Formats: sequence, C-alpha cells, structure tokens
Amino acid sequence: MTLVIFLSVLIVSILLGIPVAFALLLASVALMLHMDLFSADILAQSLVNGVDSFALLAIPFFLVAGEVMASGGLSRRIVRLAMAYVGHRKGGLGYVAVFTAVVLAGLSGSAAADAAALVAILFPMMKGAGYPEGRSAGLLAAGGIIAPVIPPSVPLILIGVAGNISITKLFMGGIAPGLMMGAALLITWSVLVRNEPMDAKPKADKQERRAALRDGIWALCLPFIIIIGIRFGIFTPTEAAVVAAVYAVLVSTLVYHELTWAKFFHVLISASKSTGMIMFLVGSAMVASWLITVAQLPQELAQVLAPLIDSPRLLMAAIMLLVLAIGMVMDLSPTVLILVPLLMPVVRTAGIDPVYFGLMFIMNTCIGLITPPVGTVLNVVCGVGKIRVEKAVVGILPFVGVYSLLLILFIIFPELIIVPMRLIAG
Amino acid sequence: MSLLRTALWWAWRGIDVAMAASMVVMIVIVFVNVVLRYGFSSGILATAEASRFLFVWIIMLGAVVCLRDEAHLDLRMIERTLPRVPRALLRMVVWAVVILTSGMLFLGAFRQTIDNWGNISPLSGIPVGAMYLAGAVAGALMAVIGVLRVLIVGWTLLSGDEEVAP
Amino acid sequence: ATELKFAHAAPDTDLQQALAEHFADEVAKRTDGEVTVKIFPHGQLGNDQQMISGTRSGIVDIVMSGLNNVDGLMPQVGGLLLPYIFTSREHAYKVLDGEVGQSLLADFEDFGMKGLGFPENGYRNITNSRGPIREPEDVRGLNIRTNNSAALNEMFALLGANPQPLPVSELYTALETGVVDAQEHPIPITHSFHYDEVQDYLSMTEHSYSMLFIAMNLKKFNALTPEQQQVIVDVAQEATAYQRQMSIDKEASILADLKERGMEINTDVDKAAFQAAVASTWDSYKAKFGDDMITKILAAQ
Ligand code: NA
Ligand code: NA
Repeated sequence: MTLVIFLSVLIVSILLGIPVAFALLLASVALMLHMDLFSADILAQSLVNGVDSFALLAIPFFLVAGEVMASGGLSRRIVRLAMAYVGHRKGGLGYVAVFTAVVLAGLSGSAAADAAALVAILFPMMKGAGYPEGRSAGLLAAGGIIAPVIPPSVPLILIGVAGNISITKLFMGGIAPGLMMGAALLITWSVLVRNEPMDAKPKADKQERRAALRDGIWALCLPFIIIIGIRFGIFTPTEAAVVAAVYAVLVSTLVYHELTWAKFFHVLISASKSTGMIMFLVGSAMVASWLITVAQLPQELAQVLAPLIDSPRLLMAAIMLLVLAIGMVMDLSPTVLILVPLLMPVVRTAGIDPVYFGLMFIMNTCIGLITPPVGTVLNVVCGVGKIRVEKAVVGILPFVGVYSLLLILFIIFPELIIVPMRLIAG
Repeated sequence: MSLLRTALWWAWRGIDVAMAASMVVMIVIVFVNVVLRYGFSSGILATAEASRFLFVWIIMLGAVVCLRDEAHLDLRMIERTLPRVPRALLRMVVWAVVILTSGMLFLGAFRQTIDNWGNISPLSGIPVGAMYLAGAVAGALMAVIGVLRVLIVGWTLLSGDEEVAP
Repeated sequence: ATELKFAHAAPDTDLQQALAEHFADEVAKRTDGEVTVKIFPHGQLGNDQQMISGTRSGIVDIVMSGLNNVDGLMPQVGGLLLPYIFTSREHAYKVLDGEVGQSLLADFEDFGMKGLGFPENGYRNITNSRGPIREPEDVRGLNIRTNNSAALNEMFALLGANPQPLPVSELYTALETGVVDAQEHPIPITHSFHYDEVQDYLSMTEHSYSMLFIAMNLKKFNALTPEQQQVIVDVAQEATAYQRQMSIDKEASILADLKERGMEINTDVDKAAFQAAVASTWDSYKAKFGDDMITKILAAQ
C-alpha cells in the first residue's frame, strides 16, 4: 500500500510536468501524511544533510573539469585525435566513449561523477558529429554505471560493510564483470549503429594522425595523471576530480591559451547551476529514502523470499527482480544499506557465494541508476547533456536490455564471475 | 519599475558571483590540501568541513537559479497538448507544489538554523546552522519565485494572452 | 501504545546493535508492549549530525552516537575526549557514572534531549603498515587519518605526524592506495570495516577512550507515563552496563581474529612517553574552556 501511494503520487506528478525533484518531495509529503508523520523537519533535514557529503564533491569538480575541457580547447583536440584513429569506423565516437568509460571506471568510484564527465566531454562531440542524441546519451549513461563495478568503488565498500563481505575480494571480483559490461556495450553499439544514418569519415593519413597526437598529447595526459595519482596514493578518487579540474585549467590557459577570464566565469556559473540541479535532486531522493526506510517497506518484501532458500538460482533471480524493482525508485546507497543486511542471512543459508552476490547486487542497483522514475545517473546525463528525459530514456533502453541479459547470464553461470575472481585474488 | 528591475538584476548577479567564488575557493582548498599532503606531509585540517559547507551553499543557490530558469528536470509532454485554460490551471498546480515543498524546506531549515547556530564544527569553526541557512534561503527564494509565477500565469490568463507560460 | 525509532550508525554486527536489541526487548517486556522500539542501524536514518538533529527536533526518537559528535553543541565534553585523560576503563566508568556524567546527561536537556547513558566504543588504537608503534617517535611522518576531534588532531600534529580528517567512507581505499598510511579507531571498527586487509600493524596505543551516548527526544520522553519513563532510564543504564561488559569480553576475540587475518599486534607501547609528548593538548583545552572538567576527571581517579 505504502509503495503504491508513493509511486502513484510520484508518477502522476512527473507526468503533470512538476519538476522531478519537487515531484519526489511531493511524493514524500504524501508518504508523511499516510504514515501520520507530517513534518517540515524531515524534509529539510534529509535534504540538506543528504547533500552534505565529501564524496559527492567529485560531481562539481568533474563538471568544472568537463566544461573547462570543452571551452578551453581540450575536448576539441581529444575529438580530433579520436577521429584521426577510429573516426573512419562507423559510430567511432561511440567506441571512444566505451573505452573512456572503462578507463574512467578504473579511476573513480562514483557512477554519477563518471557519467557527468563522460557526458560533459563526449556528448557535445557526438552531437556535433551528427549522432542521434538519445542513443548517444544512452550509451554514455550505460558507460557511466560501469564505474561502481570496477574498483575503486564506493558502493562495493558500502556493500562489503553492510553484508560483511571481503572488500578486497569484491574489488578483485569486480574487474571481470566490469570489463564484460564494457564489451557488451561495444557489441550493442556496433549493432545499433548499423541501422543509424551516420557517416563514416575517410581514414586519416599518417601525417594527420601525428599532428593530432602532438596537439592532443596534453589533453591525453589527463587520464594517465588520474590513473597514476590514484594508483600510487597521491590523491583519493574525490580529490582526483579536483586535480582534473586544475589540470584542465592550467593546460587550457598556459598551453592552449584558449580559456579567458570571461569564459572561466561562465564555466563556474554553469557548473554551479548543474551542481544545484543534480544535487537538489539527490537531496530530494534522500527525503523519499528516509521515509521509505521508516515505513520499513523493503523488509516486508524480503520476508517474501524466505521460501526460495532451497534453490539458489531461483532465489538469486527473485532477489535480482526485487532489487531491480526497488532500484527503479530508490538511490543506490539506501538500497544497499537497507536490503543487504536483511538479505545476507538468506543468501548465506542458500549457499550463494557472498562476493558473487555482492557484485550482482551492485550491478543490479547500477542499472536502477539509469532507469526512470528515480535514476541519479539518468538525471545527471540529462542535466549535463541538456537533453530531455523522455528522449534519453528511449536511447537508454537497448543498453538496459543488454545489461539485463548479462545479469541473467551471470545468474545461470555464476562461474563467469567467480572463476576470474579466484584467479585475480589468488 | 526600472529601479526594481536593476536591483533584481544585481541580486541575481550577486548570486552568480557568490556561486563562482565558492566554487573557486572549494577547488583551491581541496587542491592545495592534496599538494600539501603529498609534497610537504602537511595539510589544512578545515578542508573537508569548509568545502562541504561551500558545496551545500552552491547546491542550494544553484537550485534557486535553476528554478528561475526552469532548468530543473521536468516532463512537459501532457501540458503541451492542452488548450489554453486547463494548461494555465495545470501550471498553477505545478507552481503550487513548488510553493508547498519549498515552504516546508524553508520552515524546517530555518528551525535547524536557529537550533544549530551555536553548534560549532570542531575543525573549521563554522556553525552547523550556517549550513542549514543555505536550505532556508533556498526554500524562501523558491517559494517566492513560485508565488510570482502563479501570479504571472493568473495575470496572463485573465488578460487574455495566448501564451500562458511559465 | 508508543513506538520509538532508535537510530545508530554502526553495522548490525556491532555491539551497538546488540545494545539496541537488548534495550528494545527489555522496554517492550517491562511496559507490557505499551512502548516498543524499532531499531535503524547503519545510519539508515542519516549520518551522526542528522541523527542528532533529528532527535532534537523529534523526527528520530532515540539516538546512539559518538560523544565527539556533540562536541560542537556542548564544548565541555571536549575534556572527556582528551588523549590519556583516563588512566583505566574503571576510571572512565567512575567519571561517566558519577557526578561529571550525571551533569552531562542533564545538559542534554538544554538541547531538547533526555540523556540516558554512556556506552563505549573502547580505546582508540593506531594501525599502519610501516611498523609497530612503541615510542612517540614511531608516529613521526605518518599521514594518519583522524576524525573531527580537535584534541586528537592536535595530538598527532604534536607527534610530528600529518593528521588528515578524511571521511570514513573513503578510508579503506585511501589506506589501500596509500593516500594515508595510518588510521586510529577502536578495534571493533578496525575489525568490522576490514582495515586489517590494508594495514599490517595494530599497536595498542590506547591514546583516547571513545565513549558513546544514548539520548532521547525530551518531549517524547516527557509524554510517557512516569512508570514508562523509569523503565526507559533503567533499561538504558542496564543496556549500557551490558554493552560495556561485552565490549571488554569481546576484545580478546577481536584481537585473535585480527591476528588470524594476518595483522601483527603490538602491545609494547610506552604510554608514559606518549602522554608526556601530548600533554600540551590538555593546556589548549584549559585555555579555551577552563580546567573545571579536567580537575573533576582527575579527582575521580
Ligand atoms: Na570504479
Ligand atoms: Na531507477
């Protein structure tokens, strides 16, 4: 009943044209009334405290980095470079996007921040090159959610703690499924572009390639600086975002001489606005999550699973369906924190490998990040790319489909995750 | 009228400058802390508290500016298909929801501001109430924007203008 | 019937959850189910700041959190958080259950809360991967993750380390990659957050005693019948005693487990040398808040 009230108010509000953040707040108010708990304090405290997070600081920093790269000449040079090497392939920027997404996933633990960086840098280029907007946004969103699966990953740490699972094993185990997600995207993209009217450019000659490389080398250094910086403990993944922003500012002023004061001021305002839009939504989702937690909605659902304990694969399928449903309407962290401690006893009793379970759980909640009505990464992509939600949702659909197929494959063959994990973890 | 308009322009400009300045300070302190730690085995203790404080203010002011520009994510498919009068009424409902929820944000955050003004963050000395103040300011400004938009929609409806946005 | 929301930030494997469950069971039993308690572990109702604000405004009914988290509201608690202020656990219990603790519990009422008791997190101990810490000199040059306690940050600065107040959510990765190379927490936290996987040495420096507090929304407390109020107060005291005892009992098994997971545990620490090296943290506190609290704590030895 509680879930019905929440969902129907939320969906009707969004359809009426109420901004999603305010629709979430209205649905929360409806829950308050239903639970006889009406209070402005709940709304204000959950919203303000929900956004007061050091880890989320990566979002404005990556937004600034992305915008500086765009207006300071870095993005143009990376495009030129990518085009020189893979531009002759049909949909070449899409392949660039997937490779970048996998590299970024190895740098950062936040899907929202990765998606913001990907969209800020690549989306204008894809649009400029005449790629269909919805499809491109869909690919970038789907690429963004590889971040929490490949280490470093805040959600994997979270689930390790909540479910008492070894974080090292989760990290080692995440590499293989993360790469498989990337491969699945490459294949899907190559199939999709076959039917899209996009032109492949003529193949660039050697001289052109070398010139593009020389000109773009400064921009190309950035991912390596981030990889090396995080790998060797110079900075945290959150701090990597600020290093990226500072590096982008330095290169675009000192090397490329393209970033003016006026442009920089404009970048800061624009990044602040995007930050406000994205994070106000995060805060509103926190209000809803607080009320859903107090209503103890997920607990009731977990009890339903108890009879399936004798057939691990069936249990796993049921849990994945449940998580998918909850992930549609809830953010990743609260889903993990509320469901995992409840499900862990059932999972262990059924003899399911906890690390495998943890990875599946995170992959699944990540899919929830790009599905409506509540999808943090979906919102980030639409906000940063300035693309309408309905358009992005249609574009995302095939990638959600392929990720779901991947999940089904992993349910039938858990070895696909477990074997590489044992190989890497030793 | 033009004096009011000038004042408003400067007020919005002030918000822009405040957000940009906060963003720069946030970038500088977090970056300097990295340099100090790695290069000089030193650091600024207040970095995390101060940057989170600025972050919350940027978020709240940014949310207000987005509401002014109607830049928050929304789905306006149904509205576009409606004739003039129901469309105006629907927009009034939308802004009424903004007024209600922003008003609650203002009330709750204002109470927290008062309650936590003496609650001092240990490393930076910033009162916790000053963070909640961002929520109170944003709630108040968004509610005011909402009221003005309802009036504008009502006015255009009564005056017979064809275009009833916002 | 009244239902109370009890919030804390620890995992549900932690002793804090055991305390909360004990509290919930006993309250329900002794009020014939008239008062029930619903537990929200793991920061489900928000971080420490939010749980405390929530308890003050009444959206959360009972909170259990580190005493350092009310340092900003009640600066007097800073005295209890000073390094080496307690000579033993018994000393800490005597202070917290005696006059100092009682007046502190009363102080919670100024902020809309009914103070109920002081369970424990235990002594804070340093972990790192460079080597065992025996002398103050062994801490020099470490990039150590600290919490938001001013006194502890001052202490590590005095020892020539570089204190870095990182959020706890980033700590595991930061230790793994080497952004920081040491951390200090009570051992149940080192254990349940698996820091042993990325740290080689645990040194029993016992440089500060970490206490928790339990507090209830005052209005909600006053709305109960006098009998029910008495049950809440009694059960909170019993649950506190129960949790402290378990904390002591569990220490050996946690240490054994950490050892089995591959940590080298060093108990050979020159605490007197540490105490002397960080003595000026007491002076900084006195200069700010007077020596009333310190005098009372020392008198209770
Ligand atoms: Na990652
Ligand atoms: Na979703």
